[in-house]
Amino acid sequence: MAAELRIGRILGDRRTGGGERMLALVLCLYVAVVTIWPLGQLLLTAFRPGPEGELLGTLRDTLAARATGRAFWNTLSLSLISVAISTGLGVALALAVGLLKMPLRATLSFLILMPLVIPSQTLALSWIELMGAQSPILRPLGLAPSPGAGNPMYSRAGIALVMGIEHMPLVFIAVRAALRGLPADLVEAARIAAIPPRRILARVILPLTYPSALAGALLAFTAAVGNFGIPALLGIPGRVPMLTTLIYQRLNGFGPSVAGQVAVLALILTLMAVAALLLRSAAMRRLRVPVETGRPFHPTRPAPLWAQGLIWAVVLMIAILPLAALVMTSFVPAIGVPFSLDIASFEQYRRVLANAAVVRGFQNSLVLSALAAAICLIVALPLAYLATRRPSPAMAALDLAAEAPWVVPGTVVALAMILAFLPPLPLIGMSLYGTGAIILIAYLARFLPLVLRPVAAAAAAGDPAQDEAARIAGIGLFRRLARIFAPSVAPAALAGAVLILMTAMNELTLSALLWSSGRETIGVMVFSLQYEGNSTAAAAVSVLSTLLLIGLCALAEALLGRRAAAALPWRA
Amino acid sequence: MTQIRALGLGKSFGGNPVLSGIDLTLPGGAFLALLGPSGCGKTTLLRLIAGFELADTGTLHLGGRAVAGPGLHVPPEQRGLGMVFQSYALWPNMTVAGNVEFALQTRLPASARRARTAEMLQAVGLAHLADRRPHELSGGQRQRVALARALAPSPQLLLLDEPLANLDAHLRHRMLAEFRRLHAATGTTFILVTHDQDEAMAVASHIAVMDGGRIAQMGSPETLYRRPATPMVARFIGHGATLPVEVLAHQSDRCRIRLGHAQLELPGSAAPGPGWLCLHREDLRLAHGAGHLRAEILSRSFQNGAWLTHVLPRDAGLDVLSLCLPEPLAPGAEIGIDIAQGWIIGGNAAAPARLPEAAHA
Repeated sequence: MAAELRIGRILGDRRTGGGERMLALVLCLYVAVVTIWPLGQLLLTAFRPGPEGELLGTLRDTLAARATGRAFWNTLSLSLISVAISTGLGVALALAVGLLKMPLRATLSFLILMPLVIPSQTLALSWIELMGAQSPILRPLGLAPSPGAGNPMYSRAGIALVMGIEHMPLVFIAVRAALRGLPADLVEAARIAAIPPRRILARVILPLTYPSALAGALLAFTAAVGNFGIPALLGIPGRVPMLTTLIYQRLNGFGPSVAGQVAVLALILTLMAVAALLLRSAAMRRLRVPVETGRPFHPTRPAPLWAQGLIWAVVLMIAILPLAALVMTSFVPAIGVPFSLDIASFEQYRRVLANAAVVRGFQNSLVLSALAAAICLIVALPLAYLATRRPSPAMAALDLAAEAPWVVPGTVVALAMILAFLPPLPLIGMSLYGTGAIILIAYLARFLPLVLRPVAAAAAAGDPAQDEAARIAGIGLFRRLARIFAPSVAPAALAGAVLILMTAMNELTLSALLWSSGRETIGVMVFSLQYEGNSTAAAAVSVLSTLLLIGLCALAEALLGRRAAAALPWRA
Repeated sequence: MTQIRALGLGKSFGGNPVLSGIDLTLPGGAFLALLGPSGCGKTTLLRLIAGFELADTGTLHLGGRAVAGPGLHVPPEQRGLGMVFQSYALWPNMTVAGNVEFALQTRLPASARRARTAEMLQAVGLAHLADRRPHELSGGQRQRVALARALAPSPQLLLLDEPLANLDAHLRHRMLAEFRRLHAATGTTFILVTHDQDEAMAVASHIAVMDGGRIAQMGSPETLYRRPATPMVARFIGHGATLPVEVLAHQSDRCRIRLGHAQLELPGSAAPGPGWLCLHREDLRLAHGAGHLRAEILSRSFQNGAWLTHVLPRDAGLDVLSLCLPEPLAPGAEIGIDIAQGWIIGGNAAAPARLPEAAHA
């Protein structure tokens, strides 16, 4: 009796109704299957005994291997260099846009955020096309490397540079937000005291942005450690192994027999990413300076012309030129032919659209990401409802577990899915590996937080009395969820679902390990075409997917209306 | 020496006039309160004096030096002022001592800065908190830091922008006493922006009542109380009330007026015609006979040892009058009221053309 009572408590206290307990139980099962079991399998595999039964044998063998050490140092050092680039660029651009008065500031912000929306494989491909011997932009200027010299992007420096640019918006957003919260009074108080502008910048404004810059930098580090698209496109041809690409190459080359080894590599990746995130939350707690809210600071100093020119040059370099090179390459009818207006044609587009695998890739990506967005939305609503309105130990644990697949690198999630779903499922005796289902489950696990976070935040900020009033009126749980709770968090939920749709359409990290013939995704197609050396076709597919993405963005804005659209990520 | 001289200052935001025709002369060492309801332009005027806003029209001299005028704008950095902000605007990344010292950066060498900082923190009683961060202090302590910071460079003029708005009533009284003490000790000219007439009366040597972007009246607290220039000033200062009257005759600072059926003679300078009778509580007495006014008792409450009684006069306008009585009288009862004192202003002085409410208070 007493034990029964205590187990009951886990799902909620005595006020929690029977229907709510059932719902909580169903959600627990869902998260257990989709998240806890796969990640658990990964841990068990990493800590498996060696071939002769030595304690933690796999772990010790893998840690001692030279390849592990090389990949670890490459990952660590290139991530750190990329973070330095992200931070330098992000802070400088945020200060320029936030503190100087100049025309077209909104356009500038949008262009600076572009690398965040462009998938990393597309960004890597753009830089390959921009810097290569056939570069449609550098070649006419006589700046392209000679055809024999190889592409300078296939190198450690290339990886660090492109990762630095890809994650720069994370720092930019953080510092820009800190500057937006800067009260004008603080600057005016310094001006009254006759402090010169340079010193106001150094002593009053900059110190308030340090914690945000650090937080953004650590987020960029986590992203860099887990990045797959850039090391895959630049590091594999350049023979610069990183942890993510080493896992991919090992699994591709040797199959499930190396599961133990790659699980240990995944564990190292996870520890690096989680360490940075823990450091970030500790830093936020320790360094955060409480700033009074007040009239926000608006720049009054017009930017000097040289500064405006410099900013536009940087934005041109990081956001416009690489994409221009990509688009121009996609108009080249055959590989190896230099770009010129005379030969530009839609030949590549005709060819890729006639390619059955490419068409399947687009279909699969659309269907899988739409399904993932819909299912995550359906799961996130009751989960956020129970977590905020009927808190219990079980719901708190569930909330935490649901977050895990987004915190760890995508390669780790994909590996966990293979370990969990490669063996035939009990009861039906069939393996999910080689079907679209395994990709879908990976999407469900990884992208749930993208809709759960905003919905939970909206629920926490909402008024619980609405739900209580409906209970007083005798309305049942499911009707309350559908008619009271869902509408109250609808903008956040829809924005989250759109974010899932866009992220899943773009992703390569999960499907690179989970795809099989007939189950290609867009990301996989770009990667395979480029890997086969068909870079013009890869460029065409990238351009098509970017256009599809922009179309979806526009559609989302139009469908969601003004209020919900404000929650969309590119409005940040 | 004259500290401030403003002539015809005007300012509008996006076509909305917020200040117009501001004339102001203030001697050095004065304590001026800019008083008015929210949206009257008082903070905008303060920010014009500080140099954070550009005047559209008019000229401004500080301490004999032209700082604003046609084609002239001296930036805040070069005006040599001190300012206490409503939010205090303490730099959150610096300690208490750091805040004061940083404000002295361009004015004193390093060793002198430290000495002056210690002296100022001593003066506001915060020497023991010198190493704290602003967010570790209470509201009153932050206020003192802001004062110490603003006064440390010994400015000729200190601007205070609603500095007491974020404090509770008890602290407000202590800070007012602190303002008086520091004003006397430093000899600095103070300008305080406030919407609270009690605050203004408690500290100021001069009060400028602002209304709709203009200065309705400027003078000593006593002048504003005894001889208000407009009905708005009369109602705003000292819980005043106004009754419409007819001025019958005017002779050497006294007016003969008709109020309802009664005629009486009171001080004032209004020409014959419509006018206003300005009254305070202590001007009213309970009449033993018919009195000058008949009024119905609305409500009463016991305050400061007497019964504060609110009454509605019969046939004499709609303003509720208040008077203190030794005994409680039942609501609904009719009483007679004698008017012992008062002040008459002409009807033409009634409400100056109001400017649209501005977003900037």
